[in-house]
Amino acid sequence: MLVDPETIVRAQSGDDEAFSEIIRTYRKRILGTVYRTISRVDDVEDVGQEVFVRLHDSLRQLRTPQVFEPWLYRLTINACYDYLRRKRREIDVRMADLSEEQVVAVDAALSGKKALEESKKEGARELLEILMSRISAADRGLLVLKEIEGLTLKELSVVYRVNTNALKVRLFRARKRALKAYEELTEEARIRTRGEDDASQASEI
Amino acid sequence: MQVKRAKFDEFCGRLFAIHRDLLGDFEPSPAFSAKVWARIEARRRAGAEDMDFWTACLTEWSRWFVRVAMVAAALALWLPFANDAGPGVLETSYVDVLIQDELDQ
Repeated sequence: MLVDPETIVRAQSGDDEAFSEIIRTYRKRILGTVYRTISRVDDVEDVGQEVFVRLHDSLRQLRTPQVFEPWLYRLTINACYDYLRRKRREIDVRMADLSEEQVVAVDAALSGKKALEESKKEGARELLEILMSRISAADRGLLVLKEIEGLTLKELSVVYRVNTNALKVRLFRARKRALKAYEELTEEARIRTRGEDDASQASEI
Repeated sequence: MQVKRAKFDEFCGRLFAIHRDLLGDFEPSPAFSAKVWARIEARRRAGAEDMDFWTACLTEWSRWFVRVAMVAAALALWLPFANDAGPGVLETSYVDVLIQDELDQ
């Protein structure tokens, strides 16, 4: 844990300086999690601030300071869900920009054979952002915490308030759905590219 | 497709690792903590206003509840004896009734 339990207890009893220390210590980590979950740079700070405001409101409900971090992650993921639910209709999916080249670049990086070239990074990022927008908020939150933040199953069980066996099932299903979304997306990109190629050949003839 | 040969967990691990690399880290602005405190203060003020309103409501409701409860208690004491032809509970004690019975006999 990045802060000692004593600081958390002081913050629980209303010590503003202790709470400021918690903000200073965790802000970068929490904003990173928010950024990777919502993928919208303009709104990251807003959601991050909401997380710390919720933390301030509910810190007294925390009974054991030892589970502070998983508990903070739960607040973070819930704030991200709320944001994604609000913005669901506003997320613009630029499918028209996708090309097979992007798919090939990401495929190669996923297979581990080839690192992404600098010139292809922007395209790969676009593809992955569209993919993330197709994965449900719940799956995305769970996968970000597991795959990126590196939380253990035990920590995740505190975040989600379920036992580790149920979490394993959830993780398996979330991964399966992510894989399916990726396959569908890449297939659509390939069909679109072929369609565009056919159209350009027809116009040349 | 390459991804079909990969196991789910490996695939997701790589996918999210690439996503993380592409996004990079997020640097909080210098005013981040100040903005958090500003929001907390705003909520505190809003909460205090709400508290005043609800405290006032609760006080008023409590007063009415006590009044209604007192009336109900008085009625509960009085009703069982309302149709009683004998001496009222306030007028005659149980001992008096016993004495009267003795005298009658």
